[in-house]
Amino acid sequence: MILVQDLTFAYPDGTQIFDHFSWHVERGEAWSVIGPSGCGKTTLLNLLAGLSHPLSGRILIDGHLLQRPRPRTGLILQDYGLLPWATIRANVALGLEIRAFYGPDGIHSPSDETLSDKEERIEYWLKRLGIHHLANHYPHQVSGGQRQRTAIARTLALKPDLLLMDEPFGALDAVTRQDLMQLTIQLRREHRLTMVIVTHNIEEALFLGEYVLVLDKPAHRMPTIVPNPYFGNPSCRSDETFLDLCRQLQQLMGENTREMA
Amino acid sequence: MKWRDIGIGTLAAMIIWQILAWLVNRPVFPSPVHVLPVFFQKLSSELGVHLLISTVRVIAAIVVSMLIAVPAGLGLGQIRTLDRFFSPLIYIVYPIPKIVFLPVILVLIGSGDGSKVLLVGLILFFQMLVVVRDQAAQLRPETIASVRSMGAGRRALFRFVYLPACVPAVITALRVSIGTAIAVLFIAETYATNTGLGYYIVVESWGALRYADMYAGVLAMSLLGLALYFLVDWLDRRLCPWRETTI
Repeated sequence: MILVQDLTFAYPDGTQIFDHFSWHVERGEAWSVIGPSGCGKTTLLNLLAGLSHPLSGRILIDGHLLQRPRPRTGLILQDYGLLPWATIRANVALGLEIRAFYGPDGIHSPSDETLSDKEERIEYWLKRLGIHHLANHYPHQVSGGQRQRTAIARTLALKPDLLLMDEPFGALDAVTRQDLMQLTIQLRREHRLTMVIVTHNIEEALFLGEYVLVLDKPAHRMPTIVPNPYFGNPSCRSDETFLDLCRQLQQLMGENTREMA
Repeated sequence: MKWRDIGIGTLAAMIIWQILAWLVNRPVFPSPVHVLPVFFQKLSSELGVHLLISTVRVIAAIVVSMLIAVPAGLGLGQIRTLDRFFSPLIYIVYPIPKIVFLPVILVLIGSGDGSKVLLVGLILFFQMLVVVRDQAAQLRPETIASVRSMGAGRRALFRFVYLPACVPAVITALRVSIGTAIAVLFIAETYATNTGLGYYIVVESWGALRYADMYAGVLAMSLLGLALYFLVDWLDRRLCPWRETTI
């Protein structure tokens, strides 16, 4: 699904983030990308979303070279992604409106997109995310969790096959975060999504990723990958082995950072 | 603003005016009892025509300046190199009271409606340009990134993000600058023209020592300002309903 080949990327100030970095994700897999702030994990997500471009190397998604945002990729950011002047309903409808604006041109909108069921899709996703009763509210009138539900509804209404999330639950309280993580797992299963979630929270990474890609201090050359047997299984949260895995990840992030320094 | 509040405000203004007229007790300060009949009588004839002409000039200035300032402000707010080049220029020209250009404009454009519209439009243009630019620059990159990720190119971004984002800025700029705009229009209308409220008040009434007529003109001016504020408020409610819901 995602094939990153020989990716090289640096910030405009010259800081090297990726140096001939290769990585791949199979269709249907759920990945967490974890690392300290400034490690380049958001940069990786922007590259996968087609919002930034590699200096060299290439990214293939679903077999196609990525050159611009791809219609079937959904992106959910921590916050601020919603339009403050649009109601919850209008925010959920936004992606579909953009597709209607361009028509099924295959560039901005999938070439097989028919918007005949637009209204039903909006209704369905408002209900599925439990925000139907807030449809006429504005983003600043609802809670952070409800805003994030809106962002998820807006993205899934576009029927993505790949979901990219950047610290999606970072700004939420513990209970809401738990709820939304559970919901994300469910939705992923229902819609067979390939998922890449960027986070700095180890527990979140282990809850949402079958595999964890650990980024430490840049520049990144080889991916450090930790398979996660506890994926989507909250019951073993207090197990010793689970805590061991947490410590191991902590060490990977920390130790590599020290070595680099 | 509610109609009832306007009524109370008008009544209070009339009472204060009446008291002042008693205190001053000179022909140059007639009471509303003298002015109001003249106002209503003239409103249906010459004063009405002057009011209409001034209104059209202000509205033309608003429309023209908006059509230029909004795209220009959006461009400056989003394209940094453009802003770096033009910002100093704007800040040099912005503080100049635009009324000083009146002689130049009169010579270059002549004394017709165009010169009034241009002068008032200049004032509105700079106010809107600066506010729209700041608004466009404030748009969070996250918002733009997430909308782009949904497939939006330049045109869709303009339609779904930039345009709606700058509407409140335009309305705020209008609200702030209407007072100045009318004041400048007034001065512009006292030179080299024989139409508009400025002409009516200064040349036709004051010049002829018809004080009641002069105050009728002032009332008309206040009416024009009030109507424009109502228009802006209405636009605000129509175009930015989310602002009203702010707690």
